[in-house]
Amino acid sequence: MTKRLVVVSGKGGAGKTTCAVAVSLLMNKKMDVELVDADVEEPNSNLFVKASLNSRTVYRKIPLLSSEICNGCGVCVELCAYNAIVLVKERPLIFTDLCHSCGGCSSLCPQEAISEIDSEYGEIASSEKGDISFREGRIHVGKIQSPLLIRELLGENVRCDLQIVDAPPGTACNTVQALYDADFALIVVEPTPFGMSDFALIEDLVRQMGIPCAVVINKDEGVSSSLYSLCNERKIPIIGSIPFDHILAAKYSVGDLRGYIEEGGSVHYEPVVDMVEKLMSLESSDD
Amino acid sequence: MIDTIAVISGKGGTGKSSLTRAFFELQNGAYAADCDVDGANLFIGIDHTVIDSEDFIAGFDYSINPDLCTQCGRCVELCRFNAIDNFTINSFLCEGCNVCYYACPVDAVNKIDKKCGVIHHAKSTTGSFVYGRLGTGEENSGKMVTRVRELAKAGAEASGASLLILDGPPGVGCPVIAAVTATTGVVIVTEPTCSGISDMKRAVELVLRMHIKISIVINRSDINTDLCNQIERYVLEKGLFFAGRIGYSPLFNKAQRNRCAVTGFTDSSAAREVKDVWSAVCRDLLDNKK
Repeated sequence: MTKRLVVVSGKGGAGKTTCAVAVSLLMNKKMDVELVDADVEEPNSNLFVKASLNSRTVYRKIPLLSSEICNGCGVCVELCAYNAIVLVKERPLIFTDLCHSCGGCSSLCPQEAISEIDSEYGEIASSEKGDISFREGRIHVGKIQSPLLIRELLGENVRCDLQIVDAPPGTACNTVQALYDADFALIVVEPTPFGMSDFALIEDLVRQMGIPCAVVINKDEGVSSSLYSLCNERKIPIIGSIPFDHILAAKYSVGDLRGYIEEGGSVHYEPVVDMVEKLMSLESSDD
Repeated sequence: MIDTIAVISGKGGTGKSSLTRAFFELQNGAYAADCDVDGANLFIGIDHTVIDSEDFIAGFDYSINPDLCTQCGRCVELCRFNAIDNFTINSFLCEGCNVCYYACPVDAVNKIDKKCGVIHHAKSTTGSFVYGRLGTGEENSGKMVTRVRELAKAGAEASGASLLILDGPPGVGCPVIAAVTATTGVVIVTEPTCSGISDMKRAVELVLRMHIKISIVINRSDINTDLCNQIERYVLEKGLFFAGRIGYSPLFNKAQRNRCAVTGFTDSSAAREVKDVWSAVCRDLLDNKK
């Protein structure tokens, strides 16, 4: 059974991608890992993994009205929760950009006047070869159906021991989709007032969803006492602390996380990898 | 109509909220709003008093009445989000599409208005501002951003504010589109990293499609000078406006902890650079418009 670890943070720029990539590369030495970049609005993991990718276009269903069958009853307008259909001169006008592809109008039209057609809205790319399996979703700029693409990306069957998901920022629908079905959540926290506020939100979401979690402190400048007391109070283990490091920032800027890890950076992430293995009982999966 | 500037970045954590906080301080008589409703931070950086709060109601909470449900399976069959399991609705998967409600032949699905979050109106010595806080895991973040932006605009106009400054969400999706809509201009804050550049380009593509003017700012410019030069060349090629570079400074974190703007550290290079960037942004987006 593949287990899924989702790396979240609430706040953007806290270090999700760095952590997800570093943990994936190190964990991949011990077991079969697939890294999935589910930050479909701004996917960045492959800037660091540098896998050569095969991409395919993904489509969603959008409604198509047969105006000769439509009698202008307005049922579709009433039921569309996304205001994607309005009645103009007793005929529905469909704004497909607002459509969430729920299929309601086509399946519930009393006249059966609405069918569905495929509409392109993003890409899913997979690594062809290389030392680690990798996949990413990338939504077309201007499309709003990110949760749908994340669901599509994470719904695909995979063969690996551990799937590590680089989640989108925030605590709304995109993040919920990325967290759904997670076996474990790794929360990356930047110990600043902004980072702490967003940590409280993501921790709340992870708890509501019933997902066990642990914290990694990133850009730790030794001023995280409030974070320690909060984690202590909520009984969340802190399994790593990555110091603020100008060398890492420079390596990160050019996409050279592999170099950073090889040249000593692994010392910060190895304890995280060991703890994740224990907390997710990954050793026992080989038995 | 009041001018509105939105601050976005594509990539999270490039310094949107810290810069918005500073711009708010620098612009006399400004009004502000935090449009990052599922990770609001601006209010943390400003000592303020909440003067009014309102619930944000959007969409519905659905439930199936087991006394009426005949378990015919019509809802399960039609729900595209796999949100109905064993004739119970999973609120994390439900996208509020209404289909089960209208499809049920025996009207066993109930829906009630859903409170998705709270919108606060605040005042501070810097100025008045509005911020939304979406409930964790809730839907409708785009709608909430639109509501926050509209309330802020009404508040700004009623109070005779000089400018409305919006702290935007990360990404290029629904909440960003909602934040940027109907603004005078957009500031995109990037950083000289491969991911900062990749995300900036997607944000630029989005805003250009919406035919809105863009000023680019590089934050933490000393991480990588070569990449800063690369960003400036890109800005030129695209015909955008380059508002300047801001170097890395620990004073940004200190400002957060002190709940002040970084411009409060008056003799610092951070304060000077932020001031220069803001003058450039105003010159480009406000003075030269149309």
